[in-house]
Amino acid sequence: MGVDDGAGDAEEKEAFRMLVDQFTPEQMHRYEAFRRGNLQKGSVKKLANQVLNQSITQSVATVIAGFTKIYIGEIVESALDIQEEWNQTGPLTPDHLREAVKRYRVESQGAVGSHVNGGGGMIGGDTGGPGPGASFGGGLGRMFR
Amino acid sequence: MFLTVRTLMYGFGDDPNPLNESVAVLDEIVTDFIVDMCHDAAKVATHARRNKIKVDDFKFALRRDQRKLGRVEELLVLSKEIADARKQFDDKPDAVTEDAK
Repeated sequence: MGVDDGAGDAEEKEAFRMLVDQFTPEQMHRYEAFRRGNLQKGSVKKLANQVLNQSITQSVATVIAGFTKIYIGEIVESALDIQEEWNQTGPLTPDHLREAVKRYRVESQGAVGSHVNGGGGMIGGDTGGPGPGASFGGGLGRMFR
Repeated sequence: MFLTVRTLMYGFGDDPNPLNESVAVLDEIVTDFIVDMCHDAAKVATHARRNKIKVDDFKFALRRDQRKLGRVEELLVLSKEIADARKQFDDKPDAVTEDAK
């Protein structure tokens, strides 16, 4: 499934159009928030420039904003699942979100590039997850510290 | 990034009025995430003995995260399409003035 499929699949587009037509006003409103919500490029640039000690390009800022939005979606959806597991309702609380981040880190060990050397599993489960600039020694843990 | 975070929480399924403290916490979470990702990308660039961060560095850092990587690819295609469309628009003689001749 490549980018081409997504852009050009007429059947998929038609099915999607039919779905959107069926939206209740509340669903439509939420969908619009989903579509239009985007991190401000200015804020992203500022933060990235600070971290990387350089002036990042427009493209890089766009890309960061893009995949971060996906991350937000993953965290919020996970938090909603957690809320349900805990038999709670209403707006999400910080606890839901923090638990979601915990689970995200456990699940993505190795998925996001901190193990540049392609190390294996981490020692222990919940060590708070890979931190910034973590583990050059990858799965070997703290060998080089 | 506050206002966007609030909007996206709602967009992704939270209450239409997310808790202020939750918005604040998610803002922190997002900041940490961006910082971590930048560090990962910087490591890739360093490996290539390069100082200047490129989009490719982020793509490599995301190599095992299909969903985010896919979104990055999609964004790159879309922005190219937009750039090409703009270029076409600039190169083409103005349709209105052409007809008036």
